[in-house]
Amino acid sequence: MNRSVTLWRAGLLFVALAIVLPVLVVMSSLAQPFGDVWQHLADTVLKDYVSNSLLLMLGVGFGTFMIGVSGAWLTSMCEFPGRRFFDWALLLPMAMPAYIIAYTYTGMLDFSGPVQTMLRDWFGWGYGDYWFPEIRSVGGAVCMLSLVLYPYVYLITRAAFLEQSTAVLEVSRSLGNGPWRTLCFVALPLARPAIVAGMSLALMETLADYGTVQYFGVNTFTTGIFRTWFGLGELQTAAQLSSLLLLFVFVLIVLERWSRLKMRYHHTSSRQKYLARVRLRGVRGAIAFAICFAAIAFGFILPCLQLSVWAIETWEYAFDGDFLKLVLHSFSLAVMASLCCLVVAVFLAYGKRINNGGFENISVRVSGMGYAIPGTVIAVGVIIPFAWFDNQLDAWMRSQFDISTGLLLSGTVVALVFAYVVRFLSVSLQTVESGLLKIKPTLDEAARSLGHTPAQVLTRVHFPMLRISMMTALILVFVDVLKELPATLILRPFNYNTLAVRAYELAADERLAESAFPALAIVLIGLVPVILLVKAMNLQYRE
Amino acid sequence: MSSRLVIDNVSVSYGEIEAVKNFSLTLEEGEIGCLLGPSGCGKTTLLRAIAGFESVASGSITLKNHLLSSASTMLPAEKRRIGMVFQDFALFPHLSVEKNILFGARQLSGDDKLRRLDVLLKLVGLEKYRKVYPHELSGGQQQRVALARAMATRPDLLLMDEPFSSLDAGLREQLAREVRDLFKQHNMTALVVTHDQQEAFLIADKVAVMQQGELMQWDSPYAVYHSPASRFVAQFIGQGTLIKTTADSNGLNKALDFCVLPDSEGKSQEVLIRPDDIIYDESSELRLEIVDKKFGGAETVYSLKLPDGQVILCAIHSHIDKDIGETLPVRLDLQHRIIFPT
Repeated sequence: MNRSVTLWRAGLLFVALAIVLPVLVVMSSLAQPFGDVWQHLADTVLKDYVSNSLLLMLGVGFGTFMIGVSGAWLTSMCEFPGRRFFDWALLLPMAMPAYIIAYTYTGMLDFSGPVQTMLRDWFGWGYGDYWFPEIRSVGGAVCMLSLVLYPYVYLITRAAFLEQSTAVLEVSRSLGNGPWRTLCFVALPLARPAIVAGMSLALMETLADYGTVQYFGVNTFTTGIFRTWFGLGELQTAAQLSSLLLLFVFVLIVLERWSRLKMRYHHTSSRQKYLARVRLRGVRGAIAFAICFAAIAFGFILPCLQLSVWAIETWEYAFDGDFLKLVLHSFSLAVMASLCCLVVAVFLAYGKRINNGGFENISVRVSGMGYAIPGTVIAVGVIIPFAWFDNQLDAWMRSQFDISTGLLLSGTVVALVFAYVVRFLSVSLQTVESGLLKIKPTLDEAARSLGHTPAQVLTRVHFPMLRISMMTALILVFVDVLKELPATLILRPFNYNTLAVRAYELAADERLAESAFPALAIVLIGLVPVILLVKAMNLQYRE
Repeated sequence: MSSRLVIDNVSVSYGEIEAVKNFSLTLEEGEIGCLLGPSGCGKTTLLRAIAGFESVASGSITLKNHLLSSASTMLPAEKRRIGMVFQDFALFPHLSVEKNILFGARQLSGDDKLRRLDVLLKLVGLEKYRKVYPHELSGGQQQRVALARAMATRPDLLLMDEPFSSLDAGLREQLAREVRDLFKQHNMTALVVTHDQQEAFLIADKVAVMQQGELMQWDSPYAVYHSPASRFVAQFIGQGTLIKTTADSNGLNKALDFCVLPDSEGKSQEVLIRPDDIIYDESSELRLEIVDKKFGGAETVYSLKLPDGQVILCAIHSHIDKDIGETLPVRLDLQHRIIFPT
């Protein structure tokens, strides 16, 4: 075998191993003895973890399906007032991290919040005179998560609807099916793999959520892992809980992969023209408008308004030297992580391009699976080997040179950035790979036959063509890191605060109004990838 | 110094599979050669070996007496001074037409560059499009840019891989003619790969017919059509049927009893009959039954049944309109006797 191929393979293997390391560490905890704490957990809260996680998945699955699919159908197949606006605006809630929307609604809906105060003013009620739903509950968490996660379903399903061949839908019409029967018996079954793929992504996020359920006091695996570790100091048991959570995740990964495979078979003949949209007039148009508007209003506009009101009230306290430090911390972490992700992604993508074999495919696939692993689990899987390494090094240095190195990696930015790379590598990998796919091999050959060496082909053809993909990859990871909460909470160096951590801590201390300023900053930055997505969408389906 | 391309006994393999086997031919300066064959016959592989994208297992490729490839030598593609036009054109999507064309002409000074650009744009008729990006051009225009780009470095040899296959039929013929005129004007040496014989006949001085990695014939278009060297070439090029026949002692054939073949007593052999070898003749005694007909505008091609049941084709003026089942008065006018012993 060629020596350079061997080198690439060694590199790919190394990256893939590094990425699966946390998962392997967590899974290996299953082979360790289950201690007393485990028995205690099993007797008391484990049942809650399982049942709450299942309830959440069921609820969020239903919620994202209803909002996502109806939004996708209305905007891709119908014409009604505001349709062009909703096309992209339905993606806005993606910018809203679940933990932020959760405490925003808590502030709006609790006893002293604006909603209940208004109700009391209108009806002259006093405390205890009326029933009001408790948002800090499983139901509340389902609502919050559905409101911000439905865009996954919307995005993929809409693309599937738009790609469905006009012919298939027209055949259904010509055979006497109305629009509704066509939806139920042709369009939806054809889009089923896409819907399942979107829902599995939304459910992965649901399982990974820590901020919302913790804030609402709903016991799930993620909060359990936290409590077992920080409350009971039982890292071993936390890892065992993590591996249990991973089982749930693996089911979802398999479901997603399977449905993506299916999507290929459900792809009908190429689309020649757009099907005439069903024109919804009068009441029907108003209902369509109301459905779409409600999704954006509850998922984005209202919480943003509330956050803005709070931010205006408190900006004098919030905007000080501390805030700048938060921004600096967040930005430097995000820059480091996104650069690392980009370098690794470019390396992997080229490894696969240069020698596209089974080995390369599997390594790249494995390296891109971090998106499915909850941040909490990754944190546990990172801290165990890093701490082990630190302890070994420390012991060795002390025995050899009588120097204590202390904790070199764990508890430093290195561990945190590594965890980010594990979790978000897939984002940059996908972007770089799709960019690289556009550079057909004949372009390389054309440049070679025009007198360019391989290195010159890279600088004169590849880099200019990949520039936009690489920028996109950087931005996407940057924003994801900025929003990330659980892994940051666990792995950050002592007293090292970021925007997300600060917003979460202030909210947890019931200082909701003060947390609005960093929260709003996160939401605004979170809009950047949404804008990128909208632009890409418009390019793809320009009408 | 001539820019002869000499391919000497070249083999190219992919692992176990030998895609090109012991292939030899010489292309003289200013000649346009064409590699013609069914898909998978190794013609593109050979082209890529000449361009420097595949290495050869044995044999050698030389251009202008410089060794390009052999079992032990592999001059990098960028050092070969060979231009290539790709099937998908491979235009750089991030560069405008003028930047695409000048991509390879880096060693020229600013003025020379502009002058060459003007000449090339005029040559391919794209003066108005210099600032335009490839995706805004039609297929035919992209083809012209690809050609201009390959010619901009004044290569010693130009290679074209199925250059017209992505264009529609009318445009294909027009472009093939234009390209030939252009090459002849500039005395370009070129080698074109195609699976379409009409295209090969239009553009090439000499055609190499390939089958399963081997050269079957290297000849002028006229010669490969009218004197095919093998059964494969006879059947691959043009329409025609090989009729099995045995001559009796009088030289008369069982199947073609209307035709006397020389020197053929008692031998069983196959005769190539092209549709233009059978001529409509009102006065002919020979009347053959029509078993099928294909109307093609100016001409109609009839399938005619010989007395012994074998079927031959006959192309005649479409004004003569007969139905299937009727008989057609014809006579044989065999200008080129292509006979293969069986």
